Amino acid sequence: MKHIPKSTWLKIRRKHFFPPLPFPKVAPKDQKAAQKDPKIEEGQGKAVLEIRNKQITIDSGFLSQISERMPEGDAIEALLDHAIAHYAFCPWDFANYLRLYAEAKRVCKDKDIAKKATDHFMDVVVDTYCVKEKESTIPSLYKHMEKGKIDQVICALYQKIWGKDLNVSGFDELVKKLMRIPYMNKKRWAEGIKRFTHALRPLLEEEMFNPASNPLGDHKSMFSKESIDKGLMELAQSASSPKEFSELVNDFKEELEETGYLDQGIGRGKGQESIANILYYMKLAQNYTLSLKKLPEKKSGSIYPHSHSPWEIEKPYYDIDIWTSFGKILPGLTQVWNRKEGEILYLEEKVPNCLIIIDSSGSMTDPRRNLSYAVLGAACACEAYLKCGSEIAIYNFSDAEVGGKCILPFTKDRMAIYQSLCKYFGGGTYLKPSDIQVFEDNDNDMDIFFITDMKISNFSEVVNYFNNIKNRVTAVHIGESVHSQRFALSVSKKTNISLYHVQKKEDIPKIVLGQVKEYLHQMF
Amino acid sequence: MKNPFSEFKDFRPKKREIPLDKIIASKEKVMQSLIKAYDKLVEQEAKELVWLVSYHSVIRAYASAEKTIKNMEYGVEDIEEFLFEIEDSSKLPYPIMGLSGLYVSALCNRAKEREIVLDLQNRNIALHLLGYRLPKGKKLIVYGDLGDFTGIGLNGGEIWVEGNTGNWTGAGMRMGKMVIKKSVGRRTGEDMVGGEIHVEGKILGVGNVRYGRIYEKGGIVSP
Amino acid sequence: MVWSNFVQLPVKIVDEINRLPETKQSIILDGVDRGNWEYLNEMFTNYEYCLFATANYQDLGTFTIIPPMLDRFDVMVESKHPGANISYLIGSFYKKDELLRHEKCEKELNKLLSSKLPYKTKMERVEKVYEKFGKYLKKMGLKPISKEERRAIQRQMVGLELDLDANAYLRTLISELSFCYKYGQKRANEKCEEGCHFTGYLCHSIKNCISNRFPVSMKVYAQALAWLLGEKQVNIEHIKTVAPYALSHRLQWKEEFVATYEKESRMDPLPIHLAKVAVDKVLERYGEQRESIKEALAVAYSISQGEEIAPLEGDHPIYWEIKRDLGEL
Repeated sequence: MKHIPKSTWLKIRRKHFFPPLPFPKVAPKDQKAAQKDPKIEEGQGKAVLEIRNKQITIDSGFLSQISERMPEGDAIEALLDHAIAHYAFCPWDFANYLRLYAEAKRVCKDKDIAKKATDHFMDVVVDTYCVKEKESTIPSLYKHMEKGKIDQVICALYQKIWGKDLNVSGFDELVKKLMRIPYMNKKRWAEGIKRFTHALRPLLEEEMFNPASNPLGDHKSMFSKESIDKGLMELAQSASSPKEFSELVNDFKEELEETGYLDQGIGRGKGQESIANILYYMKLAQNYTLSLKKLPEKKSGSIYPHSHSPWEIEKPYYDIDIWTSFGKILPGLTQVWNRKEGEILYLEEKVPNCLIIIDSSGSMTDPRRNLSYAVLGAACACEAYLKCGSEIAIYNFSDAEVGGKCILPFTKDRMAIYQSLCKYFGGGTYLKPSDIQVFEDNDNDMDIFFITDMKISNFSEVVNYFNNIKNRVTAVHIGESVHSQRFALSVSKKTNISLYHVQKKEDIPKIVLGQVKEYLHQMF
Repeated sequence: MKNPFSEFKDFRPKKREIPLDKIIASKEKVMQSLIKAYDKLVEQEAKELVWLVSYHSVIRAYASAEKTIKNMEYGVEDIEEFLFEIEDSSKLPYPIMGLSGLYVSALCNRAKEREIVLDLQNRNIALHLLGYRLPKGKKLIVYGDLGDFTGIGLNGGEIWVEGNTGNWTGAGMRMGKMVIKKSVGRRTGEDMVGGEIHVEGKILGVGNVRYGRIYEKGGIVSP
Repeated sequence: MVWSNFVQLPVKIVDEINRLPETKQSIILDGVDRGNWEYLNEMFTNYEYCLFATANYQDLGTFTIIPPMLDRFDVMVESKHPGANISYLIGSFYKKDELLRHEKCEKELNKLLSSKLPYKTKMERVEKVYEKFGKYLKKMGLKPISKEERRAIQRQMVGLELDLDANAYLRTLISELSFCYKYGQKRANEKCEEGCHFTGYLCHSIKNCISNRFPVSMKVYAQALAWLLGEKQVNIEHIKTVAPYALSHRLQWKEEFVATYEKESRMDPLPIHLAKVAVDKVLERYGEQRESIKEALAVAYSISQGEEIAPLEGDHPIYWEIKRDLGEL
């Protein structure tokens, strides 16, 4: 087996600003994988370069072949330049990859074609970046490498935009369109990939019937779980609707399963769409941080000596520390004790459990179709409490009187919580206070997070209920209505109820959970 | 006091250029001028971003469009790229499809190339008035669907649409040929005085044709 | 005045520093920072010193370490658990705590420090005790460094220059940690405006401004690292490696930033992990525009020499800082 010289790796690391990547390996093609996947056959569609969880692996068979046509060192350098540039420049992380893919899919609608287009686009970007910024030997690699039809088109493009001869001719019309794309401008990648996909689509469609994997490796396995997690969070932020997010997540279901990402309790259960919807709100909620007021710790009531300060004539004698004062009473020498109230830590700052009461009646947004601020707000509250180790209970109601409700007892099971939150009844609006009483009987210290548009048919009963409870209540009303004003008025004197108004996504981080006008549990 | 920047006194930036940089720079210039001319057209013709199609407004708007692009140098790729710019709301926040169609028609009519191919498949735009007064010797091939008034006032050129068109297709055309691979809307060939329209799909409605011929799936439907 | 051994010795260790109440911490700030110890109007100065402190995580009986005290430490590292196997090995050593003890030297040292000799003389004789102890360590297979060697190493380290990229990157990092477009500079008592143009930079994620001790710590430790690796210059990798340890105890992060990264899998404690994330982010931004930043600094030099040219424009806080230093803002 070949090895990459350490000096080569050091030189390339320095060139690319010392990326935190492990030493690359040279290994033969994975025979087991070749047996499983008929695409990976001898001489056809073999990936010469693999990047998996930051580990770069070069195929030794390819190296042997290419070193007959060009110096091996140059080939290794070119491959490593390409691999590192994928990490350091494009796509950098899973979020960028998803963004590019989403734009490509807008043009071609087919997920496999979109993935191929994205892979080719990223390759053009990194190759051009390496040639322009890093004085790479990549042109030589392409010149001597075997090429499929699309690779020939891309090499023809490279000839034009790099000004180097790569032994390819033809494809002038296509190259004329492709060469105008600003590959080096990150801010215009979204626009660029659309034009790129548009121009290459007929060829990509042709390639679908003659599959040959990208010789420089496919790009889907190069992301770690953390990168995927972050990518999904960013995608949730930027997606225009839950549906758009779900579509993209479903497109990458295989890849997510491969990395084990979906083993975290997501992805099991019936209906991939509902899972994707839950994932949407989960990831979107993780973008927001809601402040959570903890219940204050108890004071012991006793004071103890804490620190010294110089004694002055007017100060009392009984606090003098004779030891540090060397037995003398003299200004400048004598020290007195400053006493401080003790704090008992056995009753630490506490975060109570939280009951989430969420309205999913017909007047509320369907969370499967459009972004529901109610579900998002409730999800953010869940994340805040779960982070502090508390449990969450859900009371999702529509017309509770006729069974339009979903009750989840206190739990820390994130998946169960989100499944309950995302349920949508779309019926009438009736909240049964007796249902909530059951939770209170189990945990009378719990916080309540209540999110609704206040258009509740038994409104007076609900207001009355809230006026009589002592728990900390964070009430959030969506939109503006006469009911929300009435509610605000009726609870205005209650010190344990805080009311927030949400009209857009940006209002959500302003919610402070458990904010009360004065703490009820303080002991002096 | 020591100069805080003294360590950089001998630094000279390495300007690494590849042909791509020049290509992008020159293309950017052309695109800026196309967008500027389009903005000017919108400003002149659209009152409060509203523009209504009428016989006179179309003629006037086309004349303005021709005037604004009079001294510009551009190619077919620039026209295609301009169509991408229409889709991008950050560059053109208020595209008006009728005026856009007229503007692109003016660009096509004035372009040096005899054959112009525009790919509008899977795009978010429905251009109206494309192919207005396409002159003899020019061929316009469009992949994808178009809006209303396609090829109106056709003036001897050829228009091939690999998709559907809307209403008023070929209205007022004088001479030339139109081939629509899929279907067309109503009032097809309204007031046409010459030329031929071949529709390989369905015609929803034929207009008041004066002279000229209309074919549906190979068979003549007018006269 | 009888000064304690702790004050006199050049190498100081404060074990469990977070058990010192805040008021006591305030008293020893100057000593920790500059080696100046003051008590009842008498002052004592260490010619040469270094201070190590240890602190366990918060529990009953610990106090917070006040920010001025934290700032006086160059770096913060975690003393990690050695793992089950090494820990077992350590535990299996017979009388491991006595391996580095030398009763004779300790007694001699104690006697010397308690004597009424002038401090300079004391330190000269203390050095001889060190040499004696050094010989004992050599027998155990260790290689102690003499005073002359120490001085030579310091000279060599100080002589290592930062290359241009390391220099520019460090300035870029400092600018993101101190800049505020709206209020002139970052301040702990001022909140960021919503919709600020510089939301994507570190200044938006931190509450406080980085102190002037940070670049000093950075330079010293980056030079030390480069020296240890046998390099002739300090490069960006040295800066990038040292920066998280010099930053982690000095920064107060906003809740949102902490919430975004606290659940990531890591090998480091959270403050160091957050600092590493921050350093990487700035490196990414620097990588995208390094030629431009270096050019901006070069142009700034020319302007400061009287050339009539405009400073380079750019989005990053470093461009604004350059303009401000040139009096252009």
